Amino acid sequence: MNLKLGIALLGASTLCACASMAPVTQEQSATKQFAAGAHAVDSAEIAFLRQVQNSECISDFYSAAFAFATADKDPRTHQYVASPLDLLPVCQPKELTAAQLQTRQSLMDALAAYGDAMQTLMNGNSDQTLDTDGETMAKAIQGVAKQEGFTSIGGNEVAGLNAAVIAVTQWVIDRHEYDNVKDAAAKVEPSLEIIVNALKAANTNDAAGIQVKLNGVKNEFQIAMLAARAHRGAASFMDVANAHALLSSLAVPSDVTQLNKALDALVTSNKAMASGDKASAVQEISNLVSEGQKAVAVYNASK
Amino acid sequence: MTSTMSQQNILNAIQAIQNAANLLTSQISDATDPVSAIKLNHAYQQLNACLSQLLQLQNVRDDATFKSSVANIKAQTNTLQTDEKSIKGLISDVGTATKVLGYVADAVGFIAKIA
Repeated sequence: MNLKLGIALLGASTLCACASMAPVTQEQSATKQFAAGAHAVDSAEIAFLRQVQNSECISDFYSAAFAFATADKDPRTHQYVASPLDLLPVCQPKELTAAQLQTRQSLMDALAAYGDAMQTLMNGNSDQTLDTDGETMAKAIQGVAKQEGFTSIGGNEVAGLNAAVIAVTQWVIDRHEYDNVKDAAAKVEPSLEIIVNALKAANTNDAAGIQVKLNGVKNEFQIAMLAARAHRGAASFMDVANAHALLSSLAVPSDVTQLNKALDALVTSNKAMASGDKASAVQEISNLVSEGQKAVAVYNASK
Repeated sequence: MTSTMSQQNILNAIQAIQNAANLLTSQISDATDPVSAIKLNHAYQQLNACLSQLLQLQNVRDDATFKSSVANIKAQTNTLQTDEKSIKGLISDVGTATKVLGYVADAVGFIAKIA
């Protein structure tokens, strides 16, 4: 079917809720918002992953500092036992390495490329740069998935994750064969859900890691406060105040509720587009943008 | 490569460790004696180290590395259990101490099932 004719037919049949706006323009606007929402979720996820790495670095430094401060003296030599302390360490996260972060980024990029592809589909592929960039990115990500590069992400969705990524990226590459958003969204829906579920599971694990690490740092400060009070009495009030200020500045959000909510909104808005119910799609896409922006604010606001 | 069942056992072990760690954090917050708090913190650090290994294990793609990492974690679970038992005397509330040990036992059980 001719692409523009297909768009016009879809618009006439499913999209007319606002009499003052042409149906095609409205759908173009909706897919543009969908792409913007997908990019917002992408940004929030990456900001969160940086915080995951950051929390490991914070934890590693304060663990070394605590070991240094509480080191015992050797009873024979009366020297402190070795407890190396680097005041400006170069942090190399092990729980989420740079390579693993890149893999997770690729997974998010697949979702963003899908959002962009929906937008170019509705624009009649008028934006050649977005079109070509999206296709190039999709091919690269698909290459990773074909080598089972996403196997390590997520929990119960592992088995289907690589296949889901291949399906989504294949759609981005083949999208010229589609002529309406409804069919496209329906085609991608199951794979999108698998990817999002894997990301949510991984986020939840990472959040557990952040919480245990930051509580570990808090415990060390707590012990230092007990020792400070024992030695300095009322003057330890200043130590408490300093510790409070420092810990507050280290605060990293360990709650992934907002991030996972934004990921859910991506799936829900895609489902609404697949249903062909235009009013519902506009509402869900608006919600996606809102949840995505909130998630960006949560994870970018922290140190 | 991790199977779905292994991934689930890792997830469950992470959750159990997190629960135990949260209880220990509360105990450290309530502590009045630095020495007992340090001992509790030592137990906390053992849990943190185990959690860290589980999180790293999730990211392992290579079968041989996965098997060897699992073997390492399993080997350390005995030490983990011994260390956690030693803190029983440091937690005055018997119910809380039992809960901590219960969560640790759960975590060790889930780790044992990772294959």
